[in-house]
Amino acid sequence: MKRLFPIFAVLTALLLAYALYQALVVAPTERTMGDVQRIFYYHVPSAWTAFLLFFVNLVASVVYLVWRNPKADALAVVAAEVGVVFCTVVLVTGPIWARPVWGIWWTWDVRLTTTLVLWLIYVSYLVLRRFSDSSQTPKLAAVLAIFGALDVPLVYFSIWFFRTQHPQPVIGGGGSALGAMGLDSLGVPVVTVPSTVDNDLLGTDVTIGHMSAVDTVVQNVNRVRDTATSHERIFVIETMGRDTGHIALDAGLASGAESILVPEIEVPLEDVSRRILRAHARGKSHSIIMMAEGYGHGFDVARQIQEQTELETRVIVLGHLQRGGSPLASDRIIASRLGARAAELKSLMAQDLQGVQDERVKAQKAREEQIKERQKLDSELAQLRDLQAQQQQSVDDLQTKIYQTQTEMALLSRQSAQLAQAVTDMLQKQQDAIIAAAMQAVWTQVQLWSQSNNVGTIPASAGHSTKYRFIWPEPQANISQPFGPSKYWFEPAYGSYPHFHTGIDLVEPFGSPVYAADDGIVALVGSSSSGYGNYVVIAHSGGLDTLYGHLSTAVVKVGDRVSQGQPVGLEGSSGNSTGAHLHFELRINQKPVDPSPYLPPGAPAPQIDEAGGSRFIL
Amino acid sequence: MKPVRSITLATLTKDIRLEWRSKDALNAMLFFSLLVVVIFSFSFDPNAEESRQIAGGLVWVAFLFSAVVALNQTWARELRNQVLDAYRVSPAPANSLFIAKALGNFLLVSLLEAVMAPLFTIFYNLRVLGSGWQLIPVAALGTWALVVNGTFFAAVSLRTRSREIMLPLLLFPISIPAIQSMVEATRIILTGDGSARFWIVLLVTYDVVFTTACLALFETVLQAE
Repeated sequence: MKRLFPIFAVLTALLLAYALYQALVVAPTERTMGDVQRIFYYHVPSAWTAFLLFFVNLVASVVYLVWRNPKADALAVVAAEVGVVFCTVVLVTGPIWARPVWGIWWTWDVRLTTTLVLWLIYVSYLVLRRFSDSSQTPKLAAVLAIFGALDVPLVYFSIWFFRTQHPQPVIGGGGSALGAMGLDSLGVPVVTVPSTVDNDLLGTDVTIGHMSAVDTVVQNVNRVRDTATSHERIFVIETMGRDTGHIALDAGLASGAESILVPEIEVPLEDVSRRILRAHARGKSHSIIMMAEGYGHGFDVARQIQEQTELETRVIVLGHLQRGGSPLASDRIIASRLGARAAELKSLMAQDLQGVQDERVKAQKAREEQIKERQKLDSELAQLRDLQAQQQQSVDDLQTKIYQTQTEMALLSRQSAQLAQAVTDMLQKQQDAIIAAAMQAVWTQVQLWSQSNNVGTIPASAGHSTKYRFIWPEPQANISQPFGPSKYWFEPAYGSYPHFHTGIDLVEPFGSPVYAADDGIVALVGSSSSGYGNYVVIAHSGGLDTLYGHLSTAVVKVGDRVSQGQPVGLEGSSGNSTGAHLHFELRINQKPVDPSPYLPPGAPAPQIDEAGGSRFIL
Repeated sequence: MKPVRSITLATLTKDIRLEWRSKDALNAMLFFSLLVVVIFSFSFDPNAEESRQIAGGLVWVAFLFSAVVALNQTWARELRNQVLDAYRVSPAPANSLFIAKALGNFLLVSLLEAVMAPLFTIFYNLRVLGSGWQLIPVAALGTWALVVNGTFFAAVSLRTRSREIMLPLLLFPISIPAIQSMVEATRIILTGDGSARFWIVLLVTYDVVFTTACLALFETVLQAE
C-alpha cells in the first residue's frame, strides 16, 4: 500500500491540474456573476466531500463503539482529518464568492453557520485525539463524533428559526436587491426597500431617490441651456442609470431635450445628427442630447455627432451629482411609506411563520406582476418611440409644407410681377400710342397747313450773323435729354427703336421766354393733354419746321410772321412732362432731325440728370 | 432502580456536603461571573434600551464561563486517592454517578444564577417586558443543557493533557444551539418582542437528546482505558 503512495500522489496532482484547467479555461463564464462563479467548481465539490467524510466518520465511530474494530477507528480519523481540510476549503471559498455577489463576506445564514459549527466540532474532535492518551483516544473520539452528529440538526433548526426571526432590511438598488435575493434563496428572510436613483428595479413605479436625481439633471440642463443658446453649441448630457435609461428619459422629457438616447431604444446616431442638421437649417443652432450612461460613452457620442454635423459639440457627464443632495419632497414621502411597509413586514415575519408564508406567496404573485410591469414598461417605451417617430414625421411634414409654400409664394410673386409688368407694359404702350397719336396729329396738322400755305417767301436765315441757321431757343438752358434713342418708356417708338426722343429737351426756370430759332411763319399753335402739351410750330423755308413744346403759354398765333429771336411762348410743363422744360424739335420734310448741327456750339451743354431720371424731359 | 436512586443520592449528598464545606467552586464561580458582569458593563454601554437587547447574551455567556469553572472541578476531585478507579470497579451503575454529578452541577449553577440575576438586573437596569415567569423554565432547561453536556465532556477531558482547556473546546461547539436558544428566549422575554415558545421547545429537545446520549455513552467514557 505504501509503495502505491507516490503513484496516487502523481495521479491526484494530474487530476487536480485537469480539474483546474476545466474550471478556469474550459467552463464558460457565468452570465450574471462572471468569473467569480468558477469558484463553485471547488466550493460545491468540497462541501459534498466534507459532508460525506463527516458521515463516514460518524458511521466508523459507531462501528468502532459497537465492535471495537481498530480499522474503523483509523477510517474515522482519516475521514475527520480530510473532512476538516475540505470543510476549510468550503469556508474559505464561500466568502470569496459571496463578497462580489452578495456584497458581504459572511452571513449567519443556516447553511454557512451549520457548516461552521460542524467544522468547529470536528476541529475539537481532532484536538481531543491529539490531547488524549492513545489508549482512550478511539473511544472518546467516537463518543464526541456521535455528539457532533446529534448536534448538527439542532444547530440547523436554531439558525433557521433565528434567521426567520431577524429579517434583514436591505435598502438599495439592483446590486443590493440581487444580494437580497441570494440571501432569500438561502432562507434568510429579507425585506428590500427599493432605493436607487436609476429606477431600474422591477416592480417599482419609482424608487427612492429617482425623482431627486431627475430634478438635479433638469436643473443642470437649464443652466447648460443658457450656454448652448448663447454659444450655439450642442451639448451631450450623460446621466446615470446603469444599463437603463430611466433618468435620461424622465429628465429629457422634463427638460425638453432635443434628443434622448437610452439603451432600451436603438437610435442610430446618424438620425440624431440629421435631426440636428434639420433643426440647424431651420435656424435652431443649439441642441441638448440627453444620453443615459448605458447607451455608450458620452465623449464618443459627442465626437461622432461633431464629425457628422460639423457643429461644435460638448459633453457634460453629470456623474455622482445625481446621487447626492437634498431629496425632493416626493422622494421623502416615498421613502417614508416604503420604510413603514418594510417595518410592518419585518414585524409580521417575526410574529408567525404562516404570515411569512403568506407574504412569500404574495411576493411570488408580486414578482409575476412585476414581469407584466416590465412588459408594460417596455410597451411604454415603445409607445414613446412611436410618439417620437410621429413627432419627427410631423416635423418633416411641416418642413415639406413650408418648402412648398415658399416655392408657391415665389412662383406667385414671380407671376404677379410678370402680371404687373404686363399691365405696366400695356399701360405704357397705350400711353405711348396716345402720345404718339397726339404728336402725329400735330404734325399732320402742320402738313395740312403747309399744303395750303407757302413759306417760300420767308428769307432763309443764312443771311444772319452766324454760319449756323438756328439760335438756341433758350440761350441759358441745360440739355436734359438729347436727340436720339431713349431709355424712357414714355418716348414713343420711332423706326426700329422702341423709344426715340425726337427733339432735345432744354431746361430753364419755369416761365422763361422761348425764342424762335429762325425766321418763319407760325404754322400751328395748339394744346393737348398728352404729347406736346401747349405747343407752337413754326414753318421755315426749305421744308424745315420747328416745334416748341410743353409751353406754359404761347405768345404768337397762327399766321404770325416771326423772326429769329422773337419770343414765341413761355417755358412750362404742359402735356407729358415731368418738370418745367422745353421740348425743341426740328423736322425737315416731316422727318425728325437732330437740331444740334443747326445750332451754334458752346451754348447749352448736354447735361443728363441721371439721378433725377425723368425730370425735365420729353 | 433502588440502587440507582440511593447511589445517586449518596453521591449527590457527598458532593453538596463537600462543596458546602469548602465552597471552592461556588466562590470561584461567583467571583468570576461578577468580574464578567463588570467587564461587560465597561465593554457595552449599559443603556437601558440597548442592554435589554444584549442582556440575554451577556447573562448566559457569564454563566457559561462560570459553569466551566465548576465543571472542571467535578471529576478532578475524584481523581485524588483513585476515587474514580474505585467507582469503576464497584458494581454501582455508572449512570447513577453521572446523574449525581450532573444534578450537583445543576444545583451549583442554579444557585449561582439565583445570586447573580438580581445583580444583573441592578447593573443593567433591566425590566422584564414579556412574560417573566418563562425565565424560570428557560433558566432551568438552559442550565441543564449546559451541565449535562458539561459534566459529560468534563469526564471525556478528564484524562487528556491540559484538560482545563479541553473542556470548553469540546463543550462550546456542541452547546451552540442550546446557547442560542437560551440567549434568544431570554432576549424575547426581556424585550417582550414575540414568543419564546420555539426556543423553549428547542431547549427541551436538546435536553432530551443529549441527556439520552450522555446516559447511553457515559459508561463507555468512564471505562475508557
